[in-house]
Amino acid sequence: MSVGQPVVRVEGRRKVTGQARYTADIAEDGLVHAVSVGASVASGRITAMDTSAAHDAGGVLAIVTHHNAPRTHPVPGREVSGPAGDTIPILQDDRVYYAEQPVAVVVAHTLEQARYAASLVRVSYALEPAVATMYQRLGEAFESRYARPVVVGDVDSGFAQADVVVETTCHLQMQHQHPMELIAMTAHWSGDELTVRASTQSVGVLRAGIAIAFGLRPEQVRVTSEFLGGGFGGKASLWWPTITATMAARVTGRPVRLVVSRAQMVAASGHRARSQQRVRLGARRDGRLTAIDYDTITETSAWYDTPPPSITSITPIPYRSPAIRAIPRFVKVNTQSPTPMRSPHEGQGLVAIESAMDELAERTGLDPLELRRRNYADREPWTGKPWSSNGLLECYDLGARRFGWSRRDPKPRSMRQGGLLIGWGMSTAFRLAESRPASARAVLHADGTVLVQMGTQDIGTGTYTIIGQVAADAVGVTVDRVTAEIADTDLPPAPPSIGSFTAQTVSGTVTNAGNALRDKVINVAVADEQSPLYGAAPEQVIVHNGRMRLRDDPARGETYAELLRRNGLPAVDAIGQHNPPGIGEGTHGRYAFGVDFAEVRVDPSLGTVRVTRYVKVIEAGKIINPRTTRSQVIGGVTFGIGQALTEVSEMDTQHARIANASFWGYHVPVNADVPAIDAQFVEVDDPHVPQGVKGLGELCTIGAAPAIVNAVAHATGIRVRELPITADKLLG
Amino acid sequence: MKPFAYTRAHTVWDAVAAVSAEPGARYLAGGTEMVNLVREGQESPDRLVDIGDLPLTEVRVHGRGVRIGALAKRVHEHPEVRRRLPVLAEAGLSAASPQVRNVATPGGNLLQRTRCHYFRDVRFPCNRREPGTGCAALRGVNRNNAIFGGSEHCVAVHPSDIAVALTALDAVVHTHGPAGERVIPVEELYRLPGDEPNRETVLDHGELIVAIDVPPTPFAARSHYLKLRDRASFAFALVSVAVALDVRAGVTHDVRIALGGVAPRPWRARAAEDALRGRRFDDDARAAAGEAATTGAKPLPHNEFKVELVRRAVVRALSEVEGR
Ligand SMILES: Cc1cc2nc3c(=O)[nH]c(=O)nc-3n(C[C@H](O)[C@H](O)[C@H](O)COP(=O)(O)OP(=O)(O)OC[C@H]3O[C@@H](n4cnc5c(N)ncnc54)[C@H](O)[C@@H]3O)c2cc1C
Repeated sequence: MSVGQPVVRVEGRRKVTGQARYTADIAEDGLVHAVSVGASVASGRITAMDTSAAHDAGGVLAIVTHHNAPRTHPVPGREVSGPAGDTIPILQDDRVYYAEQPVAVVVAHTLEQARYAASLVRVSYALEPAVATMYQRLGEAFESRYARPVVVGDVDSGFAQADVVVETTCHLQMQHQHPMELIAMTAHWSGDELTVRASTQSVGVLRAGIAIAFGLRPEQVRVTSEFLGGGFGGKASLWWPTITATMAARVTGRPVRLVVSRAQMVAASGHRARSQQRVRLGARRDGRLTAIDYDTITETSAWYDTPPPSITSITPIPYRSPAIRAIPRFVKVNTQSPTPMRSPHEGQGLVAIESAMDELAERTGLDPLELRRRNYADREPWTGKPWSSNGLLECYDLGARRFGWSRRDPKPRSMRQGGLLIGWGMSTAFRLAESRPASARAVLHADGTVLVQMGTQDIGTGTYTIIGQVAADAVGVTVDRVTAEIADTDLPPAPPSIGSFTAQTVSGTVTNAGNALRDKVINVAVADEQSPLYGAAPEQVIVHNGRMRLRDDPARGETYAELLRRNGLPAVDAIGQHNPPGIGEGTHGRYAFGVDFAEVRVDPSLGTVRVTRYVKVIEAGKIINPRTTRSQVIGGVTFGIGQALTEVSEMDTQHARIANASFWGYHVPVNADVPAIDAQFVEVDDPHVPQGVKGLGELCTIGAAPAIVNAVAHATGIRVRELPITADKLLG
Repeated sequence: MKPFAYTRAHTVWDAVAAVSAEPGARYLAGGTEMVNLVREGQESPDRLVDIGDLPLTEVRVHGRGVRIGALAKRVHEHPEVRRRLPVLAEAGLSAASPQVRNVATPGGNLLQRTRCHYFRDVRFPCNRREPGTGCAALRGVNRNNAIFGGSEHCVAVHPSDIAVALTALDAVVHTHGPAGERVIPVEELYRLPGDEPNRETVLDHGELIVAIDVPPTPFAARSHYLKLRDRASFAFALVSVAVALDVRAGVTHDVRIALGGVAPRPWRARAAEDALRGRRFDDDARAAAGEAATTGAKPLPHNEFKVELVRRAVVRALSEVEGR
């Protein structure tokens, strides 16, 4: 079996030696460069544009504005099967909805020429008042028809039965995905056919969106993306860089590359919206919950036609309670539209829920882990469906053992070393384990190698590698015989690489394709008079290391290669389909689970927090590749450290513009912020998900921020309710 | 980025002549700062004169102290610097990242521009970048801005770490300019913004820093740099403290305390020094120094915490240096 082995990432060497070519690295004949000019105001109308100086600058080929841009059709976000992207018209009229919204695109022979000319475009605006943050309009919070409240039981009577009630309100910051790789697009028209190379988490969403916007049939659009330097949700939808690059290519008739600057990254796609979350928990004296009341207010943009993805459902509640009420509300602000950021729901909601759980632990005198065990939900809390499988309790046990949790002194500020306060905190983690419809083609060549083609993406997580593993087992060859071709709309379609869908989708789809291929070839063999397998019943034939043989008579058989060569077949191929139930549908609640244990050391005098020890245990069904999974855990926890301690996009309220739109001003954690991370897996068999694989990309980060928040509270006695926890919040 | 000319200078004289001759000419050393400024539009030179070939790369120890060439790389790794000037070695190591430090020069470091968000993002008004446009930081995100030495026109902070250490070491810079050679104490290199924040230093156009001199002092060897920031590494200081101490028989004979991250230039905390000088070097004295270091602080809406942080950081830095 190849699945389950720590197979080395197939593209790893190419990446670390600089040979992997990312979207912006790929040159084309006649390539020219586009630079977007962003609005300097956050709300208003363009009253005048002077592009003459820019036109006269050297090398300029075109300046696209709302006066001369190709007309586009509106793209309702919900129709492209991903999260909504830019659903406002780009360069179609004089309206400005958010700072840095494109108002012009300058195309020139070189990037430097385009940049310089872009700086010469003069735009005048009639300013309109802009709403910079929801705190200016909390009174106007509204419920969205796309994010219905969820009510289970009766919360009021739940609180009436409670011996203890805790209430906490957390304020979560605006964050940007800020992947290392900038958003980049290269658009190339030939006639009415368009090819777009994109740094995207979804070639399919881009194709569908471009086709709608530019009035094309999907077959006229091809989108490809070989490697991605991180996306984290920010590259999953159709945002303006794709539209403007396509326009620029149309207007100039040249292949056009557009690379967004780091400063523009805060507006070139969505972000994790700021939110305010109020949690009220009612419990018996023994800690058992009687009611959960959960209100959220999340920022959204004024024109967004789907709910901002943060906290739109009850999903952040992993505990049993007879009464649950979750009401999501929204406030419109003048920013780019929010979008998922690794993980949109639990990744934010659990910060508040798990903070409240720790406060409840303090109030009831229970150990935080014991409190969570007592409230273990043996069914999906808001539907009552049984879990497809649930290894959470094993995760708790293993994690607590490895961390040494039983040695925790519950009293805040009680654990010290030298002048430092030590804090231990934990959090439950869980995340939807779903997949989406997809198809793949598996091709067996006469030399015995296998090619898998599938329009999925490798966003840096190891998809190329696991496709090889899954295909190897499904076809019956070793993993080194398989290569994968992905991220191209010419290939069989697959969903966006979001929502932790990919590993499960790939497992289901590639297994089907590989098995179909294997069966097809076996059928050729048993019908071939010259084959040693001639006349055998196909189900009696098994394949190992590329050799077909009878189950009961290992000597009787031949290799794939021998069969194909003898029959003059250069290749045999088969298509596999994957048709899972819709998300949340079916008889079982399908989730992956985990637990985070964090140790922090806080310098109480200077407010400095360091995460010094970390154990994360995940239960994600079958682990396809422990090596790439471990990388996901490390990256995920690092992501959570950023959320808890360092990352925030600071809004300047005067200008409704982000002040720290830079990599030096927006602090993602660096190595020195990240301790060695003990990544552990609990494997369970889950017959209700494809190949028993649940998916874990988001699970790896969910739980990290709340565990750290709780650890800081334990260390210091200060419960910080506004992230990130910077030194100033701990000076006391 | 505006098109510009690029030339390389081969002698100090050539370099000074080339830049002095053209108002739009600027020096280019390691380029870690200048290239970003040009690309993002805070600087739009007509000519960059590359001084990378000039023979100013040496670190030399002599009778009058340590001389650091303006182009010496990774000065913090130099054994004599580490031994004689720990505060400078620590400050140098705390700055930027290994990749940046491989290229950056001390001259360029001293003359880097502020990291005020509003100076760095050309979409915002900024008096320092464009006189008369206003200071967006005053009513904006000003957590990182100055609590000392600011004005109603500018509250930017000078971001250099080594400038703070050099200030605590009584260091001077040697310059060659169109009007000849000069020696300027590091602390006096920078002007406070007043009503002309765009005039950042006392240097004339074309004046080249050729070296930094650190004199022999009785306090240099027992010195220390404490840098507090928003992540463990690769971030500019929220507050930093350079201390250099000469304690004899338990009594502070002499001391230097300079603060970073809090003012438009390295900020000598003279009141804190006075609180120590001639007194027993003990907890009370250190606490008094911490308190005195905050004298005259004028915090902004988002950076009140810096006042308390300064107080505590001074105490901490003094305690940490005691053991050395
Ligand atoms: C991501 C990042 C993080 C950083 N973090 C820190 C930090 O934490 N702490 C810190 O202190 N610094 C930090 N820096 C700043 C860094 O130290 C400076 O960019 C560097 O020291 C500048 O040196 P350079 O040789 O590259 O200067 P250049 O970019 O070549 O020049 C900078 C300026 O100095 C002028 N100049 C250069 N040499 C001379 C000279 N000899 N005489 C007269 N004028 C001269 C140039 O004209 C230009 O105006 C950081 C920089 C970056 C990019």
